[in-house]
Amino acid sequence: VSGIDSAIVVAYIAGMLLLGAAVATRIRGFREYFVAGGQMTTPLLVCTLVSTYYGLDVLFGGSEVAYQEGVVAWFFYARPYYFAIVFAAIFVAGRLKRLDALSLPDVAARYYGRGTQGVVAIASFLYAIPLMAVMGIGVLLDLVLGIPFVWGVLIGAGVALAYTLMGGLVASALTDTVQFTLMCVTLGIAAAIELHQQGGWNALQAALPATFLEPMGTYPVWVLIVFGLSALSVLVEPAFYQRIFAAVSYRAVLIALGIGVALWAAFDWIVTVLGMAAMAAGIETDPRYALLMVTLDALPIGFTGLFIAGVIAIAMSTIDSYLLIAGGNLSYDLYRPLFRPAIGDAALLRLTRWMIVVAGATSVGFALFFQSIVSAWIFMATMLISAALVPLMAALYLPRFARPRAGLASSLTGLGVALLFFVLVHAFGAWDEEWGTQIWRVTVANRSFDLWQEYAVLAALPVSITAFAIGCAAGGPAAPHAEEHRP
Amino acid sequence: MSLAFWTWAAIAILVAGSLAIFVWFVFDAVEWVRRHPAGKGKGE
Repeated sequence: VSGIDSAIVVAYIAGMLLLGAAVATRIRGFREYFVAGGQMTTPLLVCTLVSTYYGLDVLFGGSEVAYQEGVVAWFFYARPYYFAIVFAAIFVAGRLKRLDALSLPDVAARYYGRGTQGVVAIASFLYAIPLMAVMGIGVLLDLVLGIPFVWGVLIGAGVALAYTLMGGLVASALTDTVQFTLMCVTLGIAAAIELHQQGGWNALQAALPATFLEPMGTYPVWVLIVFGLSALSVLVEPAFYQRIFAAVSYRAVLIALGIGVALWAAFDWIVTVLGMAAMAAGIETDPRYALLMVTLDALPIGFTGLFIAGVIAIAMSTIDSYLLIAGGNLSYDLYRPLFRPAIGDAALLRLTRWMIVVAGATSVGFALFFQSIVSAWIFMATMLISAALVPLMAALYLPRFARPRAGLASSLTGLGVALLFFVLVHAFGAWDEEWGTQIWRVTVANRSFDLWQEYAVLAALPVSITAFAIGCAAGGPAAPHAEEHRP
Repeated sequence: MSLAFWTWAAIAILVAGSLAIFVWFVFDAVEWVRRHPAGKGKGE
């Protein structure tokens, strides 16, 4: 990496900090800090939704699957999310927008009371800790700039933490606009240069095994189903909820998600193509870094710096938003209802800033401690879906049945079963090198079944639904404020 | 349509689409700042 490239990266980081400091002067209360005072317009929503939701897990994870398996990365790993996002935009966002809520656990509280709010807040906090992005930025700065992993983690998390602390969601969203443009433009240009160098699409296709172009690849069908089911996390995604509440109108959300789906689909396809290009070029590397290696090989000086800044942007836009959510989960969704329901606005804002620091320190601590967690994102998404999906969807679509007992039973058993499944697969299973995951082989009546850790959601969801039904049958009063908030 | 077509379409969407949205955002932000001058509405 040349001096020009390093200077571009340093200028980018300094720019993000200045933007955060400029926004900080305009923040006047918790609502402005946490949901931008409900003033976000369509273009700002597009930038912040697209860049926040796509992090290094998509860049490294998507290209990893493409490098090893081909176009299945787009058709089964990415495409189910577009259906879930379109469904959420049309059927969920409008109902959410009508609630006067600020966060995902806040919605649970409206229908089920404080117990379910607490469980959902814990699941949301676990999901929101930006562990993968913080680890990714450490690996990236080590690989491309030679900065030691520990320092890379501290710099990456520290910069995102600094401007988020100062300016809250507005700072996060404004930096997202630059990060969004940088990540889309640099990835597009990198793909064009790489395709040109490999002699066009046809030459690329000719250099790949035939199975690489089969939409289903060679994965077992259950894994494809779990890939598809993981898209359900969109329906309880805390960053989506926060942006829906922050939007100026439902129409703005609808247009932003519509544009977002086109951009996400394009982004995923380019990531898939670059993963396959690395395989076609014969690059031998850790599959997770295939995209990085093939791109850094292809780009000229100057573009390399922009691309690195683009990849850092992909990580930082995720880190800042989820630190804000995780901090809010601790202060607004856990501490406030349980210990100080009458907390003042200034005190809540101050506490949230401290809790963002706690969330940042937790992310850095985990990233340094678990340097090799590969499946962290599956674990986190599974926890969130298992605890929140059934009670939240029931609240929005079957409010008549939303009772505190049903919500608490459903969220607690969902979370419990998912955790138990992970513990069992890790205690009795073994790491499978071929598939890169933990698998527990169970033999019942001379027949063997392979239980992947990814299957946890298949066990947790039916239990969560059953527990909700039993909780409903048990009856009990509605949550104290449920009626007045029903849309 | 062929995968080659979709690949170039995706590159065009990413580059042109993101730049167009950024320009849209800048115009939108200028308009927002014009309607909300600094200092006005303090203590709301």
